[in-house]
Amino acid sequence: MFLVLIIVTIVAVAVVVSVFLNRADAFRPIVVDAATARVLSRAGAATRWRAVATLGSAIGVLVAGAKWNEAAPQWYGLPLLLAPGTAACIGLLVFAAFPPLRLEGQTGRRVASLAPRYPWSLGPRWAYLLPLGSAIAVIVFAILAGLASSPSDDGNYRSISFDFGSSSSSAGPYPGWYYGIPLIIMTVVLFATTVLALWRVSGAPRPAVEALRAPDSALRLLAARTVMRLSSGALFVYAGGVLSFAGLTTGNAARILTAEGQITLQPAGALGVVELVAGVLAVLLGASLLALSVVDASRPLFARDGRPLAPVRQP
Amino acid sequence: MIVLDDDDPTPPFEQIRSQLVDHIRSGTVVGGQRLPSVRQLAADLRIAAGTVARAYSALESEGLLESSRTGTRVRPGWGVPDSVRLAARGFVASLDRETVTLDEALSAVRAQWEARVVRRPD
Repeated sequence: MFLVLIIVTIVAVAVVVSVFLNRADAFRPIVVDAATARVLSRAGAATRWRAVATLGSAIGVLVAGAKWNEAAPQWYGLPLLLAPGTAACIGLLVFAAFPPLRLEGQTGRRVASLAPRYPWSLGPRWAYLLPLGSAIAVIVFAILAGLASSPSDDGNYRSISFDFGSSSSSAGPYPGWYYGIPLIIMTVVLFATTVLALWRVSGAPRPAVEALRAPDSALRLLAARTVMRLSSGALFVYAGGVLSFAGLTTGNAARILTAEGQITLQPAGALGVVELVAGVLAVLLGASLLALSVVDASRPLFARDGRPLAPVRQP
Repeated sequence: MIVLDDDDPTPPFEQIRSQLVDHIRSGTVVGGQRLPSVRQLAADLRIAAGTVARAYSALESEGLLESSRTGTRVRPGWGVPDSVRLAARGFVASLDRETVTLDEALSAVRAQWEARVVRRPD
């Protein structure tokens, strides 16, 4: 019940933050002729199918991971830890597997830009710092937690211990090497699938018809934002989840029962609180990004008045 | 921007080559700038990759482009001086109210150019 309450709170805050972040949107309506509108309508249907397949496969993998976790308690929650990352990877692979959207129209005058396209040229450079920064944060924290971890009874590094005189205290599960090494591998794979999905978006040919170039930019920007927010969201949820667990466990291990009563070792106790707070904030940020990726993936290509959406800023 | 005109009797390879020369000379693409890959440009223009490759290799032979593992780049030193670019811009702007085609405007420039050569023989 408590877990459900936490999840509902996180989702509610994520939705509010998403709506707030989405207010300053980069899209504005543009007017196109009837022929262009027909081409965009077909592209809109293909985009919807891709979004449904991407989200459907990701949710399916997430549910399967949770079921596997219930069926395999001997893995100490490892399947549950890897489920969000695997779900994001599968979602991104499905996204990349779809044929790139090509806006085709009849013209006797074909145009092409002389600017090379790369996976990192779909948006402003700072936008790429989000997935890169979150991936680095997860890896650095997994290494630090691994170094601080200690072996549990079965020899796996998934506990944390503190000594105080003749007393010692140990608590788990802690994100030591047992969880950290698979997490680092998962982060690298997730980053690679993000680059693959962005490469598929940037590698698709641009329309040869001048009138379709602005809507094509809008489609690419939406696709790139969906990919970036999905992967960054999953990585921030990871970083936050691991930090929260580390904080809870560190706080528990830092409380030692002595002859004078229970004491809290410092700075371990304070570190646990900081980790817990930072973790919850990172989970909220990650959940907001995931909600935004769903918003982008399901965004209609046409405004209510029948005009398509196009970016103010060309990617 | 490269434009391929299906109504133009000039072969696509030559349309690409001549427009690239214009872009390089006018400074629209500058020395050291990387050009799109053969594959990207061909896919965007909906033509065979060999057509773009032929245009690139012709410009490499002329010394305007250089290719390496990292891609095709414009060689520096081929742009016309800024004064020429400004004069060209002024000339085109002065034709705003005239109903002349590009070919007609270029013919006028060519005629003036030849007259200048006659006036100032070497």
